[in-house]
Amino acid sequence: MNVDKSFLKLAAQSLAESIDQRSMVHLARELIPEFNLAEKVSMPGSLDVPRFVIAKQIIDDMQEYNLLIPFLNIFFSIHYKGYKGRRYKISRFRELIVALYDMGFSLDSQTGKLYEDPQFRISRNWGVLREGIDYTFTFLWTDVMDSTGLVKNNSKSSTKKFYESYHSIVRKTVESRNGRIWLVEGDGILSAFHFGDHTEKALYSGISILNKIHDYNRFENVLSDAVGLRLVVNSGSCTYFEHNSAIKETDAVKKTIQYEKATLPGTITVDSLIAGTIGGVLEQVLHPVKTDNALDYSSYAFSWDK
Amino acid sequence: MTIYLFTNSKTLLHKFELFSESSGWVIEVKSPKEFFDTFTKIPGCSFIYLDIQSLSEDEIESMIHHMIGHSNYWYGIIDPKNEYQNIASLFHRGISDYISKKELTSPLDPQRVETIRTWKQCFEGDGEESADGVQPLNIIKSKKGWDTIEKGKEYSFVKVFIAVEELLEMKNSYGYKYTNSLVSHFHDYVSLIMQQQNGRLMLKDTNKSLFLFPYADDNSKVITTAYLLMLNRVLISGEVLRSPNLLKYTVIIHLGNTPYLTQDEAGLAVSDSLNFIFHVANTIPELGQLYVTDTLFSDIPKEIEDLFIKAPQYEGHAMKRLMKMNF
Repeated sequence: MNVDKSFLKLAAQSLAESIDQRSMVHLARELIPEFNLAEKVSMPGSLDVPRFVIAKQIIDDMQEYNLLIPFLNIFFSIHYKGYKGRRYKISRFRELIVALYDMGFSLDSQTGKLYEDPQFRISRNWGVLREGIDYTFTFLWTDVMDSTGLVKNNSKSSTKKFYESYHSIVRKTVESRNGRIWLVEGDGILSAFHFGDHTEKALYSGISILNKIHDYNRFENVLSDAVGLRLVVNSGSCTYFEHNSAIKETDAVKKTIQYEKATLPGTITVDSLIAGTIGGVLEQVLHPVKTDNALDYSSYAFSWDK
Repeated sequence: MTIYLFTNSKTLLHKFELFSESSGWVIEVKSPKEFFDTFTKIPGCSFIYLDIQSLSEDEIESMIHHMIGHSNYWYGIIDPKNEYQNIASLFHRGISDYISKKELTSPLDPQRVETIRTWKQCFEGDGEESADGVQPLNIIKSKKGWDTIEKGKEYSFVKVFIAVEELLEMKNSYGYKYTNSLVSHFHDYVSLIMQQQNGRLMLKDTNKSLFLFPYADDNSKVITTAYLLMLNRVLISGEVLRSPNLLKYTVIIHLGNTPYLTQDEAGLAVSDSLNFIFHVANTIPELGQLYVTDTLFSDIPKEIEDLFIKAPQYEGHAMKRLMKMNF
């Protein structure tokens, strides 16, 4: 990521004015464990290294290793979550946020984390997640019912047209709620949500997709029959990987896809742990389903009734 | 088979000379001026042809609108001067035949009418859609939508009434301040959607709003918008408005004539159709549903027509209600 020098200077000033030398180095070691200040800064041992020099060195290194945004997230966390039992006020915070906004990053008000603004760019890791690190996600799995029959009973062009519409509906719905499409396997689409109230965002995405497919069936459907979808919403801690093959092997994703078997057409299956934490309108429209095995869940569906 | 031909032109009458009585055809000729009076007496499953050459644009629209509100006939438009612009819309709205200058160069072939009869079914006595004792609406169309609508003058408007229900229960549960703020947000959200569809706010009360849409050849967009408000109730309540409960709102859509007044002066508007919509809103038994009056049955999009079911008549107007959504 190319960053303007004036921004690097601003970030270094903010860091230097907000915390002491030792804490700065500790923060840097969260991302670069081998970070060694003495090697980096050539100052006689008898003299204290000025705070700004250390801060500038850290910021420059983070930029060099492409870790600037993750480092700023750690830096901002001392304001939102605190550091070693103390909350810090971040100097020049407003200036930083404005400059970051111009660079295409927004601050998530709930988590205090930076993420790339979808208006500027949409990347798989929101521009900030790092490979091999555990994060909490909510996953939305979307799958088309009886896709074999769909392909068999319709012309190639109709099938292609449907899949274009289906993928577009899911992508627009998910990305408008700051979710990301991680995996597309034929009919199955795995979306991930991480920022903000990601559970709600995933659930509302699912409901919106069902409504849009309902309208698609009525207004646009080019196929011989109505299309049915099965959706699953599940949440959990998961290691972030850039590659789909590794993502598919994580427990949280496996469990999400496993729920599909229990899901009826036109229904969203919601993991019981999520359902237990949801309130308000969503709680009113989710209904618990008891099963013989340990896989209890809740479900959402709608029907028209006289 | 009887054809009711509304025309003042003797020349046109000659074009029907091949429809002989011996072949079972009867041609009843009436002046277009007698259209509304005669219409109520015409038996179901008759052919009605309207010659539009001597009629104004507003008169044509009124008559066509009346026709499409009564689906138990076959209709044809005769346009000897090729003046009608949007011919496709006639067929979209359920008119079965359009006869232009070209077709009138020779006598009309009875086979043409026979073909329509076999192509399009007619159900005699389709009383469900006919208004009972309500005067036919004289459509007053603005030439260019809002651009040519003048304050104080009467026009035909599609009116969309929206009210948030169970206000008292909400106030008891969440307090006055929160409820008022929630209802106000709902109103702002709905206003934005209505504006995007070319609607304008005419009246606003605590929990009620009334939007106007200039009458168009096809008013189905307004009905689709209202249908989407109902379909997306969970998203609107929970995600958009952050309401703690699923909001319940009633929507009534009705076509009628009203003088156009801005929101500030709207309280002074005297209009039967405005009174009607408020009467319905105050007394309708099932709140929180979407209703369409018979004035707009023909504008319910075909794709969602099956979701609308018969509702009790109101002040002589047949009504349809969108089915309820169960979660």
